[in-house]
Amino acid sequence: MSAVTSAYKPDRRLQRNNRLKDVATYGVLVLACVATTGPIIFLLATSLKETYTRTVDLSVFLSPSWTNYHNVWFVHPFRQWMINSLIVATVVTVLILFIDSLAGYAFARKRFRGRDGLFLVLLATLMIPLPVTLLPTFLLANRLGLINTYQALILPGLAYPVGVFMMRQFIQTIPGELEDAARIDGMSDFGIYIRVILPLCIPGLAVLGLFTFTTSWSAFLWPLIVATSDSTRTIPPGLATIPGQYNTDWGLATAATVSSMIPMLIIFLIFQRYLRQGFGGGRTTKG
Amino acid sequence: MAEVNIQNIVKTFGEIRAVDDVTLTIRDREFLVLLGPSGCGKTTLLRMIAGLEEPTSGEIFIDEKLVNFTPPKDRDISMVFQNYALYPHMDVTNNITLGLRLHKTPKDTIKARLANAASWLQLSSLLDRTPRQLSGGQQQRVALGRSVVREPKVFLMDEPLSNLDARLRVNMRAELIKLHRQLGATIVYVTHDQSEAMTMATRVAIMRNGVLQQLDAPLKVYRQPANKYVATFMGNPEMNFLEAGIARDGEDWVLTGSTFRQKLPAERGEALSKQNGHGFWLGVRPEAISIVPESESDDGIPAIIDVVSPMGGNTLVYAIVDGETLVADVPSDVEPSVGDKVRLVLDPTRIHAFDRESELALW
Repeated sequence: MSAVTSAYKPDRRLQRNNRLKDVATYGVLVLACVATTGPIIFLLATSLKETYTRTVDLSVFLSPSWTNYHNVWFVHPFRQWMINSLIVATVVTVLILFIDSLAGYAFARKRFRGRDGLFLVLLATLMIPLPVTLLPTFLLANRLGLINTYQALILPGLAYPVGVFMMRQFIQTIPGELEDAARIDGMSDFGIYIRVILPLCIPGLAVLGLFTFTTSWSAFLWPLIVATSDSTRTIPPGLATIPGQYNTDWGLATAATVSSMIPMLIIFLIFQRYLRQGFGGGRTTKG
Repeated sequence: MAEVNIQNIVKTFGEIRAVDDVTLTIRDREFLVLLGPSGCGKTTLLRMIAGLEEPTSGEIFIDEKLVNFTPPKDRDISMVFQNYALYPHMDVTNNITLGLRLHKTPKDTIKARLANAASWLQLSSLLDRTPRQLSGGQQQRVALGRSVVREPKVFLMDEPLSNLDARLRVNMRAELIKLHRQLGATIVYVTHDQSEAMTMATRVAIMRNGVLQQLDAPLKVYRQPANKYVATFMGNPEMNFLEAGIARDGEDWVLTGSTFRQKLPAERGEALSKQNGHGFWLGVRPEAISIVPESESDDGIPAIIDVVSPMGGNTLVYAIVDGETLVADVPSDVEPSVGDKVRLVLDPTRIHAFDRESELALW
């Protein structure tokens, strides 16, 4: 044993290579951090300055001015936009989670004629770009008298094939025997969906929920067209109204942008455990 | 408890006939084992009894009631699955009692049955745990508990022991035999493991390619297999086979092969001689072969020892006969060496003959 130990000599070249690799790795990571956090720091710094300057002055964090935030929340109609965005994004997310998981369950588990063809058609709709459907959807909403209503903001967002696809893939990982056991226990199809499938899909639902909420929260083009007043306007088209024709109050704009990020941040912090599981793929205990 | 009557059941999946015209009656309080290799249709048949698959044709009766169109929950059956199929998000209590709650069983009854099952299956201290906090054996017991508390007419079990380690599997076999005795239950049990069938079954139904091959008590199947397939499937190590013909040697009938002559009892010789001859398969179980040194006997089949596997109480000897390997199961005090020239003496009362073409047993 001692012969073996004494025969061992650390390979200096290997050690040097490893050190170089570490330096390169951390160098790239630092660059990535600066690239992602830099704009956010700039945004925060600008929003906390009373008057706009082009330079980034980090000393502003020591003596921040909250005037811009006060103006955003109490002078501008930002609060109404925030309420509208919360209502629309929440309703869209809840309904999509329900509709897409139910459709995903049917596509994953039910045997019916034309199932695979129908699924392909559903996926094919992903190829159609939004601007192509924009005009017909607007005409339809107009004819139904939905312009400048929450319904106009919510209903088109419910057709979300990516969600159906995601839920189908997730549900396929749940062992079919669980469903058989539930059927023998006396559950109906809907009972199986509610009591067995949904609870096991929570990580998948969390990912889908985050995607949906983010998409709905940051949607710009459609709300810009159908929300024509502050009573229904959501945050992204609202933010677009802040820059004036001749000058822009950057302090106000950045304070509004930072405020609009807060709900997303809270959601991410609450659901991050499920999100990690969901991104890791659907896994359940077999049996 | 109840009788299950299966009449001419067929199940096809596209072109494949998974179950092909099976008719069998599972008697009241019987432990019937459906035995066969993967893909033989045994699980499909079980799932049809459960109501999880719809038969393509044929009828299934439970307690003389046609159940073809009855949903699983109303068939008064319970099922234990190969992977246990416990709800991962529910604790043991909920896993066991969910079925009872869905059937609107009174709370007191649920409580009493849960307590009974938990104490019998030694689950009392685990009731608050979720399946992922349990070992494989514990999960298996929870699955059994879920089945037992329902007090169904028929228990269905789909290879419930196949995920357990060898020692636990043997213990659970004994538990299942006890369960059967205590509950007086009708049990239909699917397995590909012939030793499970042998140890637990009242009767065994052996299947191949969706067709029922033989339905009998395990020992009868072992001793009187209906065909070569059944003879091969039942028994470990498998039955040995040699190609043979029949000939007269003076007063005696003998089975003849290229290197051997095996004397037959007169009535069996008569029976074989009447078969129109495309030859036979001579079948002999390993334990019906004894080994004698070549110098000591002129009887039996000349062979060369290839492998000797001592098993403790007995020894498995693999010997080469005319290019084929035959296995003999001999007492451990017989200690041949590899390369020895020996004679394999067959017990004439325990040999089998199968038609070469149809492979059906000839006695």
